[in-house]
Amino acid sequence: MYASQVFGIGAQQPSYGVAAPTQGSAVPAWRSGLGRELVDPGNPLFWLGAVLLVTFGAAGLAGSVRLGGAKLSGSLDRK
Amino acid sequence: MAGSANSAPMIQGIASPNVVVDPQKFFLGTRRMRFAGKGLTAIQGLGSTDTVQLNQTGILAGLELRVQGTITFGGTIGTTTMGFRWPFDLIQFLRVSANGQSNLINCRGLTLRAFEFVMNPKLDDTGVSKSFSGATQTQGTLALASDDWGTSAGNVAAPGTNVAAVGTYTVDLTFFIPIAADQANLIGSVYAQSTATNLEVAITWATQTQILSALGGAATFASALNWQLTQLCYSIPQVGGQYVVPDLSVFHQLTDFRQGGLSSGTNMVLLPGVGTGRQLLRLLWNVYTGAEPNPAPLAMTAANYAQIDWAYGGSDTPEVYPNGTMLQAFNIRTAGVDLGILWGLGLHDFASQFALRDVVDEGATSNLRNEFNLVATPTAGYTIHAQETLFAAPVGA
Repeated sequence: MYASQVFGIGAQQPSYGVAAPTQGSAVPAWRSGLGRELVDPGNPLFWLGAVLLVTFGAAGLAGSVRLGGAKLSGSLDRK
Repeated sequence: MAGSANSAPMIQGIASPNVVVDPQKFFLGTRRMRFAGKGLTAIQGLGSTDTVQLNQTGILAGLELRVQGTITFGGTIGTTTMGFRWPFDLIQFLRVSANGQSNLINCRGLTLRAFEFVMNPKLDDTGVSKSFSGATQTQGTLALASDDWGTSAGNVAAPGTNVAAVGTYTVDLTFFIPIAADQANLIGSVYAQSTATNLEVAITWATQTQILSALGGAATFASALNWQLTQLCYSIPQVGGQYVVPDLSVFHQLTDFRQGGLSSGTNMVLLPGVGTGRQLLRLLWNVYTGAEPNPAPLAMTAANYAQIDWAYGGSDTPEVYPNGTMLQAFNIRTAGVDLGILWGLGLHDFASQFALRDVVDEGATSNLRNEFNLVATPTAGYTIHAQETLFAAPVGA
């Protein structure tokens, strides 16, 4: 029960506990948003994304360039 | 800029260890504690002041005061009469200051006793037999069954009543001092768990002439009274490695003030200290008529009071009672006790039914005032008003 709920006075207080490391710092709001969490190395999704990128991204990098009679090709595929 | 170090947070204006405000966890983990703040000690004497520094423990929600001992009439009793300040206003003023907030409580004994009945509807004085104005009363005395207003064999010392004979009269009174506005949710209680906390109680006792309206020419009077104080506190539990406290964002205040110059017709009493951030919970008052040393309370009836209302601003008048009897009846319904018939008390009660809905926001009610129309001009009339308010406590984090 808070005073604001019973008597309509007194805003609910902040916690008097020790502040979180970023609390009270001049931190832009977006840095604590969803995008921030996805690039966090502590997030398993980050590493899953990294594996997928290596697997399929390398295939996407494979390609060739034809310059007149010459053909330049490159691939990360070891075959 | 990097986050600043969070040094000692402040609660109610004093430095405190790291704590978390979480009423639910607090109520699950806390323990009610009751211990001596002051052992039974002789008072300094009538008209003097006794003070005590309270223990710095837990969350302070209330104080229990006991005054006991004897008053002795000697010589020849003659016409000796107790005044209407007896017995409750034996406490002329009781003041509580906490953490720099002076006078959270500053009121007389009658105000304390009346508020005890108002704030705790379980209390009932019906059937408790006491003398009042020379007649036996069993309702409206605001007496507890445990009260002894002065007894010597078959004789009593009672308000407005002649003392029948010399002798030693035993006295035993208890009062509850409401530090918190609500003894269940502890809103308004005081954070006492700090060496920086300064809690002081000062009691100014009535003088002999204030409690005796007449003393026989050959009579003598002496008193041997004692007082003791008990603190009602709640422990601060540790939950998940952190100390947890209830909502301490507001202070609870109960203060008296006196105004004279009353006459027949409408009397307007402006409330002092009205301001933003304050909520008025209750307003209690009575009117006295009769020259000193024997002013008597004016019964709250239609015979004495015509219209009663409270108002603010230019002429905003939310509630109007046509006469004293209507207010007396309303008070009986909400408080469960007849405040008005003997002690003449009237009460604007904004907190008992549904406080969230009814309390008066003093920030939006300039010139908040009580208005009462007296049928006749009282003799040397004066009124004592008691305001019960909540106001924001200094906080920081």
